Amino acid sequence: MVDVSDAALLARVALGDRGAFQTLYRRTSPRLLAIALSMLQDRTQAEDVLQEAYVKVWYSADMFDAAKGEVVPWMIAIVRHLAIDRLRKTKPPDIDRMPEDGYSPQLGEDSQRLQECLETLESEQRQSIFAAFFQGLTHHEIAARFEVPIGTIKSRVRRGLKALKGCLET
Amino acid sequence: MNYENPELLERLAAEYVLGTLHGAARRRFEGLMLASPNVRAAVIEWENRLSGLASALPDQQPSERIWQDIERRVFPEKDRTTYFWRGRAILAGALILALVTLFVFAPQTVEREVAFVSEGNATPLWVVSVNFDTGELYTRAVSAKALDLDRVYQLWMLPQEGAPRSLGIMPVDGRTQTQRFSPALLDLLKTATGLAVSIEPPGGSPIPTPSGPVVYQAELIEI
Repeated sequence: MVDVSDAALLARVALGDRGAFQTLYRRTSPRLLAIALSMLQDRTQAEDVLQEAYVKVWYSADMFDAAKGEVVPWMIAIVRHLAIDRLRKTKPPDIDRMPEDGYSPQLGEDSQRLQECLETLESEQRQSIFAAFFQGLTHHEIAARFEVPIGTIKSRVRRGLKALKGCLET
Repeated sequence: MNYENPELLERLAAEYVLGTLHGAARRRFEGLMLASPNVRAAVIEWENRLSGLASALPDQQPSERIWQDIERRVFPEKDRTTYFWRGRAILAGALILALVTLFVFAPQTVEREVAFVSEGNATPLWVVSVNFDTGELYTRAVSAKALDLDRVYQLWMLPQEGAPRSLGIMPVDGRTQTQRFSPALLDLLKTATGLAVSIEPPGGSPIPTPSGPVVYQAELIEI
């Protein structure tokens, strides 16, 4: 099933095909675990979230909107929301382990447009978005991390996202 | 809050996907997603926009027990596999536009078979499954689009012997269709060598076999 698209695999999963589900797992789980680990900073917790995420994928595959959605972004969203749920229930993350101010991720080849658009943002906007995406931090935690008032962070995130959308649409 | 305000909707969707919407605001927004296709569409767009960020992280291979735990949770009964479809379909003179695979599985107590019709790497056109317990054939148009007003797709099975037998007009544009067939036809289907799709006038072929071109053909692969 090497040549089968993710969407095709997910359509089979929606009909209960276990083989397709396993193929989808093998293909996508290393990326999804990377995200869970980045947010939770704990391998056991990240693997728990990964497991929850695939159980959810199995049971909600028929809810996937094949007309508008893309499979991997949909799965990434599932993992991130589960990781966020877990972060909110546990003690606040250790903000000292957050990336440096100049953190500048190198995105994959398929995401070069996103990379370019991120580079058009103000550095503070970019860093706030990264802290939320990669660490799952709340506005409060980002404000503590960068030692600025929460209103400032809210506005950086809001403006950053708006500018990012504007750039991606041009 | 006025959720019909497009600017507000856009901002909430973006923050929901990023993860900075929390507490009661997040729950309210999730309720809104269930109720409104516009809200869901805005969320999907943001998922597509932001997911590329994840490509910055090096892949992490999960330990093998994770898959075993997932399997235990979603497949509670022991896997039982049966093989119905065998061989290959050969339609002399058929115009084969698509590589089509068919696969077999038998979850739990119900024996089913699924034909999965795809064009190369693209999204599947249709997914077809048969439940031999209830005699139901279920067809879902995943990406197959309507032709024009005076042409439809018709599904055929190719029995081991004799002429193709109609399995009905196929749904298009995201629709699904459930049909029930006689035990005699189901017996033929169990040993059929393939499926085929032809283009026909509205209402289907005026004769018992395809009258129009066969455009897709199912190669039946045992897995």
